[in-house]
Amino acid sequence: MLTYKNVFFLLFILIAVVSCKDDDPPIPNEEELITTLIYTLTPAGGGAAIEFTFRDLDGDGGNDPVITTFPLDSGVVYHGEIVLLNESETPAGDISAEVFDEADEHQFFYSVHQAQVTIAYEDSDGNGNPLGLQSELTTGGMSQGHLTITLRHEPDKFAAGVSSGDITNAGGETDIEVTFPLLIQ
Amino acid sequence: MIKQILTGTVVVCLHGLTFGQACNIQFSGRVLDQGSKEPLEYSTIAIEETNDYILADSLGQFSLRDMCPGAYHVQVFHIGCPPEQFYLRITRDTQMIFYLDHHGELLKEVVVEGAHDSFQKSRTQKSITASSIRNQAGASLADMTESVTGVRTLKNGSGITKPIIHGLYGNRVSVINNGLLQAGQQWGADHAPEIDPNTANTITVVKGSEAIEYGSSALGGAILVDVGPIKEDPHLHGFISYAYGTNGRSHTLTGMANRSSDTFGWRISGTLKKAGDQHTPDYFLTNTGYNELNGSLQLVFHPSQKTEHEVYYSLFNTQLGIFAGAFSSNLTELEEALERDVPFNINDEFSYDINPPSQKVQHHLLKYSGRRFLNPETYYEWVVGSQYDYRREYDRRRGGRADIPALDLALFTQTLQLKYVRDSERIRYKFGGQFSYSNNTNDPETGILPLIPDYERGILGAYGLAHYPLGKFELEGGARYDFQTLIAWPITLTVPREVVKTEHVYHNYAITIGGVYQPKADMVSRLQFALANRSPEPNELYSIGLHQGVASIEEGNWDLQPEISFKTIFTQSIHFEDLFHFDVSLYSHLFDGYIYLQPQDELRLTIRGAYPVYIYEQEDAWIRGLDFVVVSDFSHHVEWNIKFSWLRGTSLPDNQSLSLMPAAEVSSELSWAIKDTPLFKGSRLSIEGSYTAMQEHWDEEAELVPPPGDYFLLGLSATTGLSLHGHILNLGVTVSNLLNIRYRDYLNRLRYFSDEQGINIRLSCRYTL
Repeated sequence: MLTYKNVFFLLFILIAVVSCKDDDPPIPNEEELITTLIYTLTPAGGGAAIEFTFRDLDGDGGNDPVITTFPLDSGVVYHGEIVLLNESETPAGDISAEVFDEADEHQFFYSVHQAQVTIAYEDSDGNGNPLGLQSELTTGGMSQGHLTITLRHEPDKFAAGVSSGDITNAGGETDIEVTFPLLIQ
Repeated sequence: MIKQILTGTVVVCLHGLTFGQACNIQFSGRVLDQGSKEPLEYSTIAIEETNDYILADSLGQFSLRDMCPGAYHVQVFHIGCPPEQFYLRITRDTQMIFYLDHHGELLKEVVVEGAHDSFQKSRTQKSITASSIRNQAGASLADMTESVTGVRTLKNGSGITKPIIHGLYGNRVSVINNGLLQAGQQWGADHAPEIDPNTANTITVVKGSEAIEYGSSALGGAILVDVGPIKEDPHLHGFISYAYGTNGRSHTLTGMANRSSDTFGWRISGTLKKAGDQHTPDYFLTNTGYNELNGSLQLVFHPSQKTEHEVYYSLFNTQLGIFAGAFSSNLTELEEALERDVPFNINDEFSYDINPPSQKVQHHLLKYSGRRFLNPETYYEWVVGSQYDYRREYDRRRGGRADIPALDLALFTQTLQLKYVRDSERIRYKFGGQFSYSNNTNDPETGILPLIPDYERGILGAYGLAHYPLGKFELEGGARYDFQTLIAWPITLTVPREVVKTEHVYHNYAITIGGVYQPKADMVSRLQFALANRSPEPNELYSIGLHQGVASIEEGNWDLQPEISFKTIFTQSIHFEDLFHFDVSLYSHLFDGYIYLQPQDELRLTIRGAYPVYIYEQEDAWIRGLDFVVVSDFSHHVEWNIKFSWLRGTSLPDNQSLSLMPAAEVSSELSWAIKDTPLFKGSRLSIEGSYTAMQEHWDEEAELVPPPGDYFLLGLSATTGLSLHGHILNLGVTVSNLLNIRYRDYLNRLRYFSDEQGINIRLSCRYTL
């Protein structure tokens, strides 16, 4: 039978096994974090490449993201390429490679407002559906507006209109949604 | 002649001088309703061992002569009541009061006196009884408590449900699991209480702002889940039950076995659940299945008449999917989702599969308690408890990381409690102390900044409660003080990330004063005042990020101060003969520094788009409301009830509506007891309608979209009991959302994405050994 001394000894043991935290807890390695999107536009006929960038090194909170764009020339065909980086680690993590490896679960959508610009997919996944890391951007006459680039994870790529770049029926989770001002001169 | 008086709910055996007594014992007594204490006329009492059947008279009285001394299993039947089985040892002339659950509804709704805690009669509490728990086999704790007026559920889809008491939930509602404060991750709006209600004997909802014995933070109320004492019976008893639900094709298997002698008793129980995708009237809610595996073991030793030791272990284990069509999306996606008739990511086929997003939760509770009686009215009790809560949440992730949890929290809690109780006719009081230590640890392998930081918390508390009867009045009061230290290690959002160690010291207190006035037996008034403060929880101080919110970023606030609450609750119960039972509660709950999520003026631009930001802030607030019940019992054959609840919550400086306050609800149930036949006992048919109004009071700044409209639901149920060779087989059919209507509920966090569940037919059977 338990005596009271035994009971209190049991209590003492139970509490004594609880040890306090000695060190600061480790900081998780946020290897999936996307800090940076770079949309590189290279004129098809040759010439200097232009980089649109969206950079938010500290993630969702903290400082505001930094967005840079450059004017585009009218009546030009550009080859576009998206690079996604995690610049919170050194060397920077290449997130676009992960997206490329899971091409059937991802799709970029380009939506242009007001400016005279058309964008076409230049790549596809294993099922023949577009991915959108590679694109072709064609400028029209002088105009201005903005371009929204959206990356959806696990969209329904077979839904109506999705393969032609219409996001309406895509669903999925938004991994990227950034908007750049456009100026065609 | 000495008479032995026993009651059916707690069977106490007195050991007398019984040697060689002849078969001339008189066994008599009454059968009463547990809720109203009124006689249950013409009940049948069947004695298994002798095959005797006794019919009680119009006052519920019965008598049987010439019984031999011995142990008997007795079954008691009454029209409209679930049959009950009792075990008694009869050694001399014996009087027995059997309580049956005739007015299940009434018992649920009328204040239960002292069943659990005779120290706080003035508190407003409602109990859900074993038979009601039985009829809802397979339901979650929150679903079961929702049958009490003033209690609603906060949902995350239909699989994750949390109780809301008088508009408050989460950190402000405590769950007491068999005498120990449940230490889980209750702060999360998408975290259901880690507890299996199916093997509980009673579930009690305390609506007052105190469960003062367990802590000072239960401003909204408390839910007490008890497995109850092991019935003394040297034979093996127990039950096995199975329920099938058509919606989600759910299976629930529950079993319990117990045995008890003078010195030693044991009980073992377990629940197994499996459910797949639920269905709205139009489509499957893909990935809303769940699996559960729960068990418990209870051992009780009585080394002497004065001492009792108990060891209790329970395991709760669940894996559940979160609706595939819901995303923690940005505002653009939310607008897309709202415009659709059928959500994204819906499968046309039913499936039991659970894919990310999903949750896996394990909760272990191990408790040792002991009690020593100094005299029959005085005892002291000691409790040592350990709890381990392990929660993993999975999201859709890139690069094959979906198998790595996005949130991985382990909370380890140790509790030590001591109390001294004196429970005499003249005065009742108790006092005690508690020490608890908890340690919350994130696994950094998630690769995601933790939603809440690592922390350690120590609480040292003391309380006292007293109760004085003064004629028709009874006065009572209680006070509690808690010294709390909280050390947290939040991670900053700077580059590079840094860990900042923060330390807080809080002094929490709670004071309650109440009174009961009972001028006549059929009229009781209760009034209670409770002043308490609650220090901010780690999630309110430090939460960061998107994980939890729907289309919003929620952030903690390091500068929060404890919130102070003052709740007044008045309850009036009146019984008009046996015809009408009337119960109304009015309450007012004032807060100084109510902690809530305040929407910020600007959207925050992130790489995933623009999000509204909500930060925990404090403001004075006022929640007031009323709960109202009428039960009418015209003939013992037909029972009719109406329940109504209404509340309103506003911030005081600007009179803005508080978020997630339940809308008004009115429900009515008509039930009809069917006459017993030799085979079918206690059969009952009932139909229930409930109307939930649209929440008209909402803050346009705080809500992303207006609350959904009102809705009306119809339900049916039929239950019966079969008496088979001394065992009882209960059968039941329950139909919910009978009309299969399409609706959405303001208190469901997935209301933006999908409709609620359609029709569900639940079939249940339970065999009592």
